Amino acid sequence: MWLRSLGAALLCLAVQLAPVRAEEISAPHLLKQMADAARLLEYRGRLLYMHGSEVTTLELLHARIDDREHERLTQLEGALAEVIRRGEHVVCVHADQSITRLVNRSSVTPLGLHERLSNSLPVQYRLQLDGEDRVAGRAAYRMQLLPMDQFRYGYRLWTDQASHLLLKSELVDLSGRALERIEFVSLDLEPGLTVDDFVVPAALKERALDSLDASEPAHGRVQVVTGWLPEGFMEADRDVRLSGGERRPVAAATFSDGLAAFTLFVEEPGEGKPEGVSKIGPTIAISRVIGSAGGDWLVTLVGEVPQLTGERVLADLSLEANSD
Amino acid sequence: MKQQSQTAPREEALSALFDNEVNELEARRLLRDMTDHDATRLGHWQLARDVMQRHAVAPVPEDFSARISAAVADEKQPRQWALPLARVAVAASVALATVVGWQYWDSNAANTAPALASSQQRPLLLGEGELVSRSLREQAQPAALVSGHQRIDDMIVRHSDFAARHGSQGLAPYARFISLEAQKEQQ
Repeated sequence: MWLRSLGAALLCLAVQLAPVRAEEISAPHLLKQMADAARLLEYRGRLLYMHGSEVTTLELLHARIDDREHERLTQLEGALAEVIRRGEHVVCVHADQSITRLVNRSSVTPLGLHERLSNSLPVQYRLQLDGEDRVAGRAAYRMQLLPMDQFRYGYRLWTDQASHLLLKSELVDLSGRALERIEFVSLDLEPGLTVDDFVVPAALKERALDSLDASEPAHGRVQVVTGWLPEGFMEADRDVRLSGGERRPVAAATFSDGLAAFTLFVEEPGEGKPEGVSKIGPTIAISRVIGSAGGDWLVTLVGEVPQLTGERVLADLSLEANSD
Repeated sequence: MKQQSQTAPREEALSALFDNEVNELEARRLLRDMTDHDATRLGHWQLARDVMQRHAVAPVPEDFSARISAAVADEKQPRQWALPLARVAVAASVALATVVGWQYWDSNAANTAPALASSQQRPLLLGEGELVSRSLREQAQPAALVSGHQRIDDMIVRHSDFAARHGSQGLAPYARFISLEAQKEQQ
C-alpha cells in the first residue's frame, strides 16, 4: 500500500504548474533544473540499462525523507541485485545475497548526483541544446555534452519538460556510438514512498571491503604519482582497503574531471593477477606491472575513459614508497 | 564478377572489424583468415581515418605489417575465454593489435598528443584512435585478466562507488554494478 505524501505531492504539483517559457530554455538552465529535480522530487520508475548487447531492467525509487535522500535501484529480472542509498550510506546487494556496505567517508561531500555538474560544467566539455524528443511517453529536451579532446567520452541527455528529471542518458564515444544507455520506460511522480521502501534486505553474509585503520603500517606503503593526466582530471578520493581471500591491502585513488572518473588500484602482484586489458560496457580495466624502488606492483586502472587515456596514464605513472 | 562478389563481403567484414563492430566469433574467424593483404589494408584505413580527422599522423612504422602478423599469430593460439569480462576482449584486442593508433607506438610520439589535443578549438565529434596500444605484445593478451575477474569485479564495485560520489554521472555507476551482478548470475 502506498501512502501518499502530501508534501511530495504538493512539490510535484508546484513544479508541474511552473510554466516553462521559451526564452528560459537554455541548456545550462535545464541542467540546473535537472540537478534540483533529481535531488528534490519523489519518483518511482522503471528503467532500461543497456550496454553492448546486454539489457537490464531496473526499478528506481527516490524520495526525500527526514531531509535525507533515499534511493533504491533494483534489478528486476533474474537474481536480485540492488543498490540502496540512505543519505550517505550506500549498500550494494549482490546476486548471491551478500551485501557490501560502502561506508561514509569524511572526505565525501554529500553533493546531489547532478549538482556538481550543473554548478560548474567542466571546461573540457561543451554543452548544447539538441532539440526535443519523447522518452517514456513524456516530452523531453535533448542535450549534448561534447568532449573537447579525445581523452574522455561525451554524453547525450534527455530531460523531462514537465518535471525536469533526467529521463535518459547515453555515454557516447568519439565516433558517436552509445557505449551505454539508461532510460526510463515509465515514471510515476507521485508514488507515495515511505522509509519502509528503503529497508536493506537481510543478507546471508557481508562482503568485506574493510577500511584499514590509519595507524596500520600497511597503510599507503606505496603512493601513486601520476606523470600525465588528461586536462582537468584531479585526484578526488583515495583509500586503502583489504581485499581478496588473503586480505591483502589494495590502495585506490580516484581521478575525475567532474564528470568522467577512473580509479587506480595498487596491489602486490601474484598468481592469478596477470597484466591485461578488459572491457565491460563502457568500463575499461587495464592491469600493468609497474616497478618501484621497493619492488614491483600491479596497478589496475578501472574507469569510463577511452583506452587511450588509461594506457597513457599508466605509461607515465610512478610509485613512491611512503616514508614512515 | 565472381571475384567482386567475394571481395565485397570480405571488405565489409574487415570494415566492421576495423570499427570494432564484430562479435567475438566473427572476430576470431576474421583473425584466423587474415592475410598480409588484409593487414596492410587495415593500416591504410587507419591512416585515412587519421588524416580525415586531423589526428597526428606519424610515419607508419616500417614493421607495422609484421607487428600485425605477430599479433594475429598470437591471437590464433587457442585460448580459454571466460564470460562476461572476456566478451569484448577479443574484439578489443583485435582492434588494438591490428589497426589502431600506430602514431602512438613509441613514447616520443605519445608525448606530442596532449599538445595536439589542447590545440583543438572545437569539440570532437568523430572517431579517434581510442584503442591505442603501446606495445602489441602486451595488448595481445587481454583475456588473461579474466582469470582474476572476481578481483576486477570488486574493483568495479569500488570504482562505481567512487564514481557515483565524484563523477556526476547520476545513476550510471550503480546501474553498472547491478548489470555486472546480473551477468555474473547468468554464468
